[in-house]
Amino acid sequence: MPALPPPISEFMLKLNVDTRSPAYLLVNKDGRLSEWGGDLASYGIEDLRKDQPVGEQVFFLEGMLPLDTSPLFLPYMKTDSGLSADIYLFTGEAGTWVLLMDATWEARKRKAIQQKANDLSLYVVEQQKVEEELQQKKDELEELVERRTHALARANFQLKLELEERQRIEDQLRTSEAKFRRVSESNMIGIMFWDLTGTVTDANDAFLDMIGYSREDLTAGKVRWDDITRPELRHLDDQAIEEMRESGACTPFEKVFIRKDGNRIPLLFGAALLEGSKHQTVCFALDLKKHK
Amino acid sequence: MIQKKICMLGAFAVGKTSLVKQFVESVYSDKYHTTVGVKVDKKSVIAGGQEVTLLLWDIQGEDGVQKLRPSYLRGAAGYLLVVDGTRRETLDTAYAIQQSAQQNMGLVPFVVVINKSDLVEQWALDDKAIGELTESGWSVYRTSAKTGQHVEDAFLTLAEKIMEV
Repeated sequence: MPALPPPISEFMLKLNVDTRSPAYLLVNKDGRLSEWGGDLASYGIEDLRKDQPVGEQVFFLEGMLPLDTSPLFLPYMKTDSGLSADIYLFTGEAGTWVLLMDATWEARKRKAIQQKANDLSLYVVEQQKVEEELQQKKDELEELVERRTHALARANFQLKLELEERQRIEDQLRTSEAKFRRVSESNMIGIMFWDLTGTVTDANDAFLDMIGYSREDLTAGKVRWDDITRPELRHLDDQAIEEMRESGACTPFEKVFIRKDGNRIPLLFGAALLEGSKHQTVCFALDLKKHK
Repeated sequence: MIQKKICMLGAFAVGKTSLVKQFVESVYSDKYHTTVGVKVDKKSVIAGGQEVTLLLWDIQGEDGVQKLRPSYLRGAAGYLLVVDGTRRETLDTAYAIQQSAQQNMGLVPFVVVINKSDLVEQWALDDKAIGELTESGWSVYRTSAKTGQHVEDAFLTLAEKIMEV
């Protein structure tokens, strides 16, 4: 270090003395206090006892001594008075010197900066946590949306299949109905519908011709099964009904119907329960007189 | 008169000052005030069957800029290594500080304190991370400087360990 002119050295010394409240302690090699001076009171260091262990009087020196040859620096030590001191320890011939210099102003400046830096770091950590939580929620939400979308797509596909199946069944039904209507309307054979209570609900012209009733009679509900069936042959009908209940259809059998004009007409008769019904039947009748 | 110097070590804002205040004065403040430099408090306890005055050096927390100053550690009989349970990175800092402290002080007793147990639902440390500490043979306490939970236990355990040396 370059030698400073005496006025500079003296000015610096005076500046330090005036602004930094220097104070000192001298500790002998046994760790006992041998000398002190300066503005110790401003650091709250009072009631010192000579030749007594220094660690019992100045607590921050407990364990610090003896010092090896290197000086020791303890910056910004908060003292009992509330002032912060820079503390220097160094060894001389008489023992260890402890120098205290006021660093309160510097400590406050540093604290203000440090507080802002730490607050900012904590804020950043907090923000990171919030962002992580948000990201997690977002991921969960996206997963939920994806699951729901997938389920919806599956349901749509299922619905499409069901609609196609329904369309196919309806087409089949329409085709089947068209075929049956063609057979019925051709009047090649007599066809009629009745329920097991005896009411004839519908019939084609061929059947109505066989039994001598008009379509108006049918519409008016005047065509009843028991009216056109001979009582002595009723047991054949009962057998046919029983067979239909068991297997859905009965074996065609010969029977005689009573026409509206009272004449008898022999017929080959067959019947089947309509699909899904336990009472509605469809029947065919073949005029045996015409075919024999 | 037995006096033992204990250092409070850990990352910044883990609650070192609050733990000392709770232990010495039984008070707590929610407001965070950073520590610059060091502040020494003392409290007498019974450890090893004797009255011991603990000199508690509340040392400024470590961060990316402020590193642990070895001069503060000189003459310490033990230290409390403080971790903030809500910040995972403070455990990493604690591991680094423990290495540094051991280099400076040698094998002196220490106790690990995982602080802020009153905020346990916000903890970022899982049982596995804490288990690794205990598996290393370290004494670990989950404390709350706010409620005082296990604060005295941690200090007294350290005092006992120091008196056993």
